[in-house]
Amino acid sequence: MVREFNKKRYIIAALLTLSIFFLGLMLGLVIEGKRVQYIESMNRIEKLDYSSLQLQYAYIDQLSQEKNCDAVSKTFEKNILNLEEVRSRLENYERNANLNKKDFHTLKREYIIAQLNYWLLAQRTKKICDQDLVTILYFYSTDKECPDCGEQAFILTYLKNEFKDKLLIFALDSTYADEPMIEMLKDQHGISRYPTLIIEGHVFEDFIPKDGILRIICSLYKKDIDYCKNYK
Amino acid sequence: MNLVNLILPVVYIITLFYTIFWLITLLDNKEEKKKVIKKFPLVSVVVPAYNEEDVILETIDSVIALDYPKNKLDIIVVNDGSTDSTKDIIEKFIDEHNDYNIKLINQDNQGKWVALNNALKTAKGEFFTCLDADSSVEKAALKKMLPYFADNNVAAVLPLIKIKNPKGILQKIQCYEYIVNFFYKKIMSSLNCIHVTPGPFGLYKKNVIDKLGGFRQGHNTEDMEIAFRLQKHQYKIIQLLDVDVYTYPPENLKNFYFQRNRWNKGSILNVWDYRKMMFKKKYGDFGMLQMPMVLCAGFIAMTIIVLVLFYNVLKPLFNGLYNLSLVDFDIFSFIANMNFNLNLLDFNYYKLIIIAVMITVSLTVFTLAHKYTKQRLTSQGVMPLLVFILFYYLLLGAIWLGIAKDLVFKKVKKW
Repeated sequence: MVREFNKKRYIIAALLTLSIFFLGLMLGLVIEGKRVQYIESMNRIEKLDYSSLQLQYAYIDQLSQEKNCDAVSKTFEKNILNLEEVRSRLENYERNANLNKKDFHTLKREYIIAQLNYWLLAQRTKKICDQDLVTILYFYSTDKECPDCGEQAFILTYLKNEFKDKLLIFALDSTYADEPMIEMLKDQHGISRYPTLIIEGHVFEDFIPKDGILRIICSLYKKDIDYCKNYK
Repeated sequence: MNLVNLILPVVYIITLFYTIFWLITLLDNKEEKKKVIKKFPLVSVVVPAYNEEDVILETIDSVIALDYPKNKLDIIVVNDGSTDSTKDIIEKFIDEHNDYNIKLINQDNQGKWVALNNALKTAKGEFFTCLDADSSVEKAALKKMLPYFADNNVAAVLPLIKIKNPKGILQKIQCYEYIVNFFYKKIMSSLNCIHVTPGPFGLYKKNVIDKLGGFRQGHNTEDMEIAFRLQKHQYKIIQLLDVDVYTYPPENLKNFYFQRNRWNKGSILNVWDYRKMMFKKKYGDFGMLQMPMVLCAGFIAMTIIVLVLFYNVLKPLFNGLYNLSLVDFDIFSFIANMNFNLNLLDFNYYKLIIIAVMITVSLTVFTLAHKYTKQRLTSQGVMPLLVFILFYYLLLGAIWLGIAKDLVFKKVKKW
């Protein structure tokens, strides 16, 4: 018996397989484009929010309207929560991106600048409104050099949940080389390892467990805080 | 780019290609006319039995109940060194049915392939079939199968195997498995690509088997080895879906594992033994498609279990638990602050698209398989159906992991 061998069938199957595969790729591309657009629109809102907040604090500062501090600090807290949410989303998109990596990378710079703007603003508002809060600058690394960064971020998220607006955390990707401010901060504080936390100007290198961070931040609050009872 | 992101598209493309190929083949196939038997040749029916006192009578009963002239049936029961009362039961049965041509061969326990060869030596039939002692066959089987030997190149004709009285979830999911497998074999049959002629009632042309030297051990899968040899010698194997043979499936997970381990290990080792046939045009689709497919099946099943179980279940679970341990397992803090800010853009589309295509393809094959085997989708109930769809590949993956371990440690178990 001589077997039939239908080459055409193999070619049709291969072509159909590739078509479905490329259709999927195209769909992925469209979704990635939508993601860029979404982050860009969030970015515009974030910039407006920041300008407005700056204006509100300037108003309080110059016209001594301290009675408005509570309301404005609530807006401040809301803004940095939004900022953090979009930042983590952006990082996630960048990690999964195949073709728009460069776009996401540029957008990330905007968010790094925003984080630092809010951090500086927080230093000023503390004085203007005499707020009892602690700020943490968290330097992490997205490459394999920092196996503990995931755990450190998890603990910081937990503490943020507990302390709410009494604790402001700003996360910075230390490997982002395009923004000179990152290098300036790293140089100034002599940071070379990750994770590193700058808590109210004090530098703490390497992973710190939950209790360690609690002992540091609890000693910085002026008033008594429930959560800090065992750590003062 | 991690390992998952590299392997996943490869598995995806291979699976997609094979499925599309099968579906094109199916569309290409014209409905064949039912063939009618014109003459009644002598058929030898072999029943190999090893400690089968519970089921042996049922099996022989189904053989003598065949709708076929009594004097054209040559029934050979091979007692493969049973230690229970199998031998006595058979002897009594022969005494009571002396109007039938039934022989008993006793041999030391040497395995099924030796039993088949011993039966071949005494078999007088023009055709030869074997009915495992845990199986039974529909009455019209021979009448429906024999006409296909009109084509001289046909050396074997195979029935559709169904599960006898499925009980419990494990047996019920095997019903679905058999339906899909036999649908696949029907497609393979039209390409002359069948790589196994299963034990229950595969009908052979005896002179071809004699010419090829009988059965071989074939890594405890003599039914697979003979199919490879028939393919090598350019014979045709035909799969039918309108002849039913019923068999008892493994009743517990352990026996299921050992059976599937033996089958799948046999398929890999037989492909390896006949590897020279692979990618040779002379062997048509069997060498180009089916043999690589047998090798790929294990790879795909293992990939699925490793990816799904390790990367998507175990690793996140372990990381989650470890992270929670860092905050003294204060889960309530996270629950209280949970933020359901659902954003459609956050889904991992890369994986979602693959999953969506795979599910569509699987459901298409599954539905067609039921249509062709004339079964209802929910014949075994909704629960076994869901278990089959969701967990069958994981089960298969686990079996393949066991096989990979056995092959690495060169452990080939006796059946």
